[in-house]
Amino acid sequence: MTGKVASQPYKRPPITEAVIAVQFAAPVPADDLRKVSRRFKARYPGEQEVKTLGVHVVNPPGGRSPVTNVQETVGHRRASDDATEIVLFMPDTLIVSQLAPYPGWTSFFTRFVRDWKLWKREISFLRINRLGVRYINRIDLPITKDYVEQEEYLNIYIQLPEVLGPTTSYAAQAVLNMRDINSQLIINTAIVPSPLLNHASFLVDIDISRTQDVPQRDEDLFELLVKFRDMKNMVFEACITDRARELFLR
Amino acid sequence: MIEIARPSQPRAATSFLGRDTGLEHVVSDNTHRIITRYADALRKRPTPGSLEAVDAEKDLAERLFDAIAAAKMLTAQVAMHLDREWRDKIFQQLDSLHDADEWQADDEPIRQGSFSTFLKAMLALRPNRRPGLGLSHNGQLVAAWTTDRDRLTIEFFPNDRVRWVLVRYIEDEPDRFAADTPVSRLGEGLAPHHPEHWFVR
Amino acid sequence: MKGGRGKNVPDDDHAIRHVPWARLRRDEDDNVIGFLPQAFQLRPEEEYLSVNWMEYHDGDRDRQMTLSIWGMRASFERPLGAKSAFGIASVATIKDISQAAGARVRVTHEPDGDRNPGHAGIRQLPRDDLNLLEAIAADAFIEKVNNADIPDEPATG
Repeated sequence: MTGKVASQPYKRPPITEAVIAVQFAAPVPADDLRKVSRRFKARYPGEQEVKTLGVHVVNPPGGRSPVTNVQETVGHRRASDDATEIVLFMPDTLIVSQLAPYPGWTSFFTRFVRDWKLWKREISFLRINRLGVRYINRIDLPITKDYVEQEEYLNIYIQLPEVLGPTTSYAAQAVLNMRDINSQLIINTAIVPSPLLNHASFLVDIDISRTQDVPQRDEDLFELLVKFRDMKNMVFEACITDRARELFLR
Repeated sequence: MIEIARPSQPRAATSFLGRDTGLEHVVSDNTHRIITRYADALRKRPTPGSLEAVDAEKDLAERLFDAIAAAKMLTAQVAMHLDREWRDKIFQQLDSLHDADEWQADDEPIRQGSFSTFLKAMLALRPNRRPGLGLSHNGQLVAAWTTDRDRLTIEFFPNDRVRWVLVRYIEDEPDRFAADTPVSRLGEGLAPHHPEHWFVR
Repeated sequence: MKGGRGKNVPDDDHAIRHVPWARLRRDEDDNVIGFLPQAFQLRPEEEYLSVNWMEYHDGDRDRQMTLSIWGMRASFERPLGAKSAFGIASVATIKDISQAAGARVRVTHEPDGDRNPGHAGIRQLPRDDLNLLEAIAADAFIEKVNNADIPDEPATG
């Protein structure tokens, strides 16, 4: 079950992180989360507690002013020895993540299936209310002049009136419905600080998810993930030009 | 800063490097802050690899582990540009430098800013011969190459700065050179001293 | 009694300094080939670079070196790492190299009570002169002794 494009076509894919996230309708108690994290120790020896911040705005009745609650959520992140394979246990989410170098979908998906099965053995059934796949790509363009012609490499960028002059930075988000798979696509694109000298770096962050009619059976879940991956590939290929592909093939 | 060109934009003769073209003069400070926050949020949506470890009282082993884990995750940001063999070697060297049994009290583990500068330098210089690595007492990574009596040592600081010193023996007399520069000028600074003497096998 | 706090260590004598594993100069395969300049860098709170005066102790050179190392081991908070080492330099060479770089250093006796009576310090060492530190690392501290090669001090009593 590897999808339409089984092999990794690029020698150096620009993927910095690939994520499969399963969100549940109810949170797992903290003690149970700690216990399940320990069960993954053999596969992911390194453990850290991590925190995320969530901002919730509550509109009280009676026209009173909105109340902003900032909540810190603590989870358990486990990683392989080389820190490229990660599993993250948050109270309401299981996340399996792969950092670069990306080993290919087959390897990543196989690991997810393995971890999902272990998770299910440890935690009794929880209704899934969101399933998502996210691939964060960073396209590093060598700078050979004092400007970068992004359209030579990317089909996704912002377009501004010429009278405004050259762009030095931007960030943009597009949200699209993927009706044929009853899912939502979010694409984030931005210029980001480059970790390489003499390069300009562009983010193409592709997030595909479903929050309605989310499959609950494993077979259906896995099938949907493969569809997400195929869709992600289509989106990514549509966002780049052949000139960019040459960079990933070197 | 690098200018991003659009298809129909005629090329200007003058470079725009360094020119401030932000919104600072157009909107209020508060609006500018809000816009900056939204833009940052779009750029930096958190991922499992980017989440910070909880800041709690930790013992030495935990502190060393956190530092190495963070360095390895930082390496992942550029792993697509690194040979697997070199990446593995860097990890072995990092593990070795942070051996709890060898740790000196009051030393700092590797600073992420220093490691980031090191990665930038190595990906630009691409030495065929890899360096030996060391760590200063305050967590700055040090790379060292030695060819016979000739030595090149580079210390990596946060904020993309480096300090290097080299010694070459000419007719048994040492010639010493040192500099403190941005990492972007490291290659240029080393060029007159034939760095291939250390970098090429 | 030899020396005294703040008194100069004779030029003919030797300074010995502990260098942890992280500041040993190594090749890409972690083979040790010397000392990094950073091994001789002052920490912000230090007013002198901590060394031991080898000839404070009586006996032949090996005995003096061993007693110095035992003194240093006693004065460190944590046991010294098995892969760490000690560098030995002639006081005269330290001073000559420093003078050539425009720095007039002094090596003074700084006894640390009974546990490390041979403790000394290199004073007036410039903090940020990487050229000088490189020269001290490579041309002054030319002798290396592995910590693992020196046995533990026998327990007394």
